[in-house]
Amino acid sequence: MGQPREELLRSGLLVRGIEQLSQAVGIAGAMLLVPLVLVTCYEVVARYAFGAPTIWAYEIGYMLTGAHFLLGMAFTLRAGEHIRIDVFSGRFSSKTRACIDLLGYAVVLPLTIWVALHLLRYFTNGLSSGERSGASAFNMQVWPFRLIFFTAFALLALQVIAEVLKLLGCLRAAHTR
Amino acid sequence: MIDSLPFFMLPVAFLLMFMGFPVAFCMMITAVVFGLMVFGDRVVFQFIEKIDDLSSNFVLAAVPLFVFMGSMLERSGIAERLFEAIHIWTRRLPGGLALATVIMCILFAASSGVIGATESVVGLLTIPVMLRYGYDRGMIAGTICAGGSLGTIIPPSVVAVVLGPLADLSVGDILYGMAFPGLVMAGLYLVYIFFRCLVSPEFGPAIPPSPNDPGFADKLLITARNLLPPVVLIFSVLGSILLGWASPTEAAAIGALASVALTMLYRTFSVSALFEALIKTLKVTSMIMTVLLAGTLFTGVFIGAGGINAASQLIGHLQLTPWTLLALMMAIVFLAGFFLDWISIVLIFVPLFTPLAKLAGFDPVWFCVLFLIMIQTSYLTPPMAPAIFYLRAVAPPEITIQHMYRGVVPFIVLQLLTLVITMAFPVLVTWLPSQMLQFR
Repeated sequence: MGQPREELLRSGLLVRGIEQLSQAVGIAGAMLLVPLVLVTCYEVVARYAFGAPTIWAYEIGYMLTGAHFLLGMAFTLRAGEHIRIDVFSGRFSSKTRACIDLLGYAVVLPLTIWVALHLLRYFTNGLSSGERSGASAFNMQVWPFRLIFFTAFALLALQVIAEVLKLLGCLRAAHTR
Repeated sequence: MIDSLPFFMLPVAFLLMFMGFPVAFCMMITAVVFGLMVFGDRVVFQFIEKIDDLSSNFVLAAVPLFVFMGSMLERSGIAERLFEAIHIWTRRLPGGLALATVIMCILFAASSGVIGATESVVGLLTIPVMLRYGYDRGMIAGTICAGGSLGTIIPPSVVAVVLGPLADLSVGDILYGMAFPGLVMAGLYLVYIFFRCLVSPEFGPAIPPSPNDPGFADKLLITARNLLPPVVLIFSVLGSILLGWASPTEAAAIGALASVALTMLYRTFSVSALFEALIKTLKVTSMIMTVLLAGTLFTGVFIGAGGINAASQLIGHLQLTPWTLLALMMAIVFLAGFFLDWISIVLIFVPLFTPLAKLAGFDPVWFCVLFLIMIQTSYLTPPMAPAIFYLRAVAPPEITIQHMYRGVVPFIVLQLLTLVITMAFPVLVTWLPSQMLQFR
């Protein structure tokens, strides 16, 4: 029975690859807080000390804020930090909980892919039309921020796949024991 | 029939949530399934618009910034210094250690916008001391749980930052509005602890004078060294919001920078501590914002399918007086607090209740402050009691779960009393914003 073992090994590699990607992107997202703090503080100083508010701080600020949490979604899922109400499910067996999660992810996965595909089109539309935000005088191109939306949801879909593979592995291990 | 369809969204979402699947995904699933039923697959464009809107909302930058500021201060060793400085003044009072604990919690609450880590830091520091001096264990547990969860009722508060956009109100107005009710609640805790320990000293005996007590000059010196820097930081952040010098987001950024400076001043700064704080901030923020994102998808479908209209029609049929309606809504939030965490409560009930409260003629800011006060009970009411979970993680085995359940009851009563006081005297909420308007 060499085949299932090999399959297990391959899925293990896939899981590890996805998780490393989630982590790398998540850490990059976490670091965005540093420029967010500096940009926002600079804006206050520019307004009061120099009497000249910047035109770019607002748009850079909201993009850093959005990118920060969006890029962290997959990493947070991996860390198991998305909040759950475990008042009742705490009493279920670990196998039951794994089955519930599998069922849930079976709906979440196509949903995330669906949204990600539309976000991809949203991004390419923005790129080809050269659309601008119109949110301030700075009037940024919209495509870089839309690329973040797509990346975040695509990565979330990948991390959901990793979670599913891990759950399947757990269930199989419990079954063979 | 189509009118009642949105009402099924709530029970479906609750069912999924109680199965233990992540809250954000439960709301997303419900939003998509009902969205497809009502609008067909063009609902995806509504989702994309909501993703873009939420990600571009600069007000929400205050969420990671306040989380970061708090988690930096918690790592900085400031807690020990604060406790020392406060305790030298309160040690001779009945329940002095518990009073010092609550005062320290108030200061921490005014520097961070979430609960959790604050409670762990305060608990680790003060529980062993209170046990050593023979404090009642229920009293210890109640003090830590109630004090540790003041973070979201005393501004700045991440809950207020999340609640503002959902209720279509300015975050600044809510932060002003909650300032006095938050202080009333904390004040009630202090008064209760003092009199409880005065009447029955076995709850928290006063510490007898000893020859080693520091003199008055020493006390002032310790206070100036330990208490002044964090207090200056806290009041500069809060003050600049309250005086309208900086938006909540800007004040949060300044506070974040100042908290790093403070750790450097106290020589507790390290790159690894900064990195840990950044990672912790990312996880907490992503958790909150993902639920918020899912929640806006959920309410988008709910409102689009006519849920709010149907709800107000239903309320109209019931012919409730405004105050009965208010009492009913508060009772629902109270009961929800037994099973749900704050973010689920805010996301589900704020968009549903705020328009109803407005229709009934109530001031929406005042209503949201009542809502925030009610959320305080959700931290303490089991089985879903985050404050008790955090306490369990740091409490020694002598403090059992029974002590905790018994200990929090008086504090829940005090929270309900705060609610009643704020209902009876709306001026507590409305006075500060009206003063601030004159400033601006």
